[in-house]
Amino acid sequence: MLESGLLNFPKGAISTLEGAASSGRSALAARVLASATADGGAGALVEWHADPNGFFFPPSLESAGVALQRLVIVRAREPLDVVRAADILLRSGAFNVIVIPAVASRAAAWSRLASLAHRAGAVLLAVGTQACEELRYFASLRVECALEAIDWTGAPGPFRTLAGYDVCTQICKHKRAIPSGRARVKIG
Amino acid sequence: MILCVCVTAEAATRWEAILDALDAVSPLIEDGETAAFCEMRGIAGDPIRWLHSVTHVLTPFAIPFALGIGPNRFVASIAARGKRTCARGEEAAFVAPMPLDVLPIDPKTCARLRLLGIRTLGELAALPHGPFVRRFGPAAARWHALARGIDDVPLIPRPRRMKIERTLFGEGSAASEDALLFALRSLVARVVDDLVALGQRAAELVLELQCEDAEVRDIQVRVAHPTAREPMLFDLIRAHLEGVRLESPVEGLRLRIERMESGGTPLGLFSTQDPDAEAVELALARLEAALGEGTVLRAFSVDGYRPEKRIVYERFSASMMTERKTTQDAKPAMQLRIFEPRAIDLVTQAGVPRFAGTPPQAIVDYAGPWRTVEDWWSETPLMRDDYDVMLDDGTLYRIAHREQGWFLLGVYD
Repeated sequence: MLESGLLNFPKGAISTLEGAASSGRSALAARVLASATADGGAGALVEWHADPNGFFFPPSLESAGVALQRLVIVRAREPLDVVRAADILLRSGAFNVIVIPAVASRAAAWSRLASLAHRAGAVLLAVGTQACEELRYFASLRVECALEAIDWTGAPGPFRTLAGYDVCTQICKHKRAIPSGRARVKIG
Repeated sequence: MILCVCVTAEAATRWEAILDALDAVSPLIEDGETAAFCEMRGIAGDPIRWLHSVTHVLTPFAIPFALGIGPNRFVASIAARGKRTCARGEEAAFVAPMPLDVLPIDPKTCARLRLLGIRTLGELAALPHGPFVRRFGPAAARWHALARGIDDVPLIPRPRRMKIERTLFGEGSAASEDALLFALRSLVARVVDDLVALGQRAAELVLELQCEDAEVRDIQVRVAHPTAREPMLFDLIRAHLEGVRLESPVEGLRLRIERMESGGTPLGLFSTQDPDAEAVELALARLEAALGEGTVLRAFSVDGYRPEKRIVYERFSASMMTERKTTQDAKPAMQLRIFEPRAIDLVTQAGVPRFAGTPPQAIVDYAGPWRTVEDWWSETPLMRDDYDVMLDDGTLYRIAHREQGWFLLGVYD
């Protein structure tokens, strides 16, 4: 699954992409959004104002293949709004993939979202440093990401650029398969 | 003869009512947005009497207005600037003293003509037609004709505006949500019947809630894919009502169609995989009701040097989802996640960034600087150097150095 570029996140379930900053989790989430919007579907990206990881940068999303005209960006003011937005988006049944920040919320909220995701047949992907205990319980798939190597072009200086990086992804929970599997993904 | 009615910008809100009132003067009225043109051919009376009748019609509006009569639309609009009437055969002499600004010429061409010593329509009309058109292009033929008082473009009658509006005032009032929705459903059914009878689809509606405490609340509903389907319209209005808090029971409802489109719902040949536009529309309305206006956005990238200048956000609409653009092949690409620029502590050695943050973390590798200079002609020019740096814990940041210090712009993730 990981070798195929993480396209096979289970539909109708909650998945998580966890890792520290620069671990490639946003790049992989963008890849999932790209696959959702490329074939005519719709994707949604819920962002939280106070997210310490910042906002997604639309030109970067575009370079990952995301069709921006099919991507709804929702700006939530507080963690509860993230859950509310995900609830409304899942309930509509119109979105294939919904990416949200992995905010801390009650078990009842994640249970409800898991049920709605199942009914809508959508991928609900939570991205963050570490999922809270309740989210870890209700997630069907948990993938941890870590930075392995960085590609720079040339020697330090003004003519050098950041070409990309390699990340290591590992499945640490899978409700429908054996939770093992590690892959190195090249980003950039 | 054409009668021109010009009003001031303050009367714009009552423009439709003014046009309706002018129907009493002439059967053919063109809506010129800033002026109305009435065809007076065949109308009994003379210009003085026509001016009196229009003045009589417009007096109740209590707005300043100007009237002019001429053999054609252009001359009538010139006449409305002061002299009021121009007889047939006197057009060229009538418009000759007017400045070039009255013609539909762009300011650049106007300036060119002034450089050639042409300042009035009379001077322009005196130029030989052929050479003038050859020098200034095909549009110049119309300018030359107008300068001679010739305007043979016929008036375009304004379309008759259809109005659909239904009200519901029952005995008593709706204090519960269920009662309100029950009343709303029957109101929507009546409006949809009207729409179907006229062969129209609703594109924009306004629901007016009249409360017992005399509060009147307007709820505007925009429909990205105009429709005349009752369940869809009801669900959309209901989604907008989710964010409304009222202090007292509702005693009356008024539903008005503000904008409508004719014909059936267009279907795309290649749209089988498109998401359900109505479901998207409903979700967007619910999101805006729950999270507030301006929270549901669409982003697109534009050209620019600074990352933060390369993004434009606008309100998302389901109609945009049918746009088909070729996207690049999907492959994992670095994602820059941006922050509001915030100041950071940074230590440099020999001009090279070495430590960042508080407490300081070592910078183990970097790329840059890339200089950006913008607005150098203004009083507040921007000059900054951007760097990509890697800290000892493996985090990749985009930072920038400006006159005021060092700033954190984003993180690669």
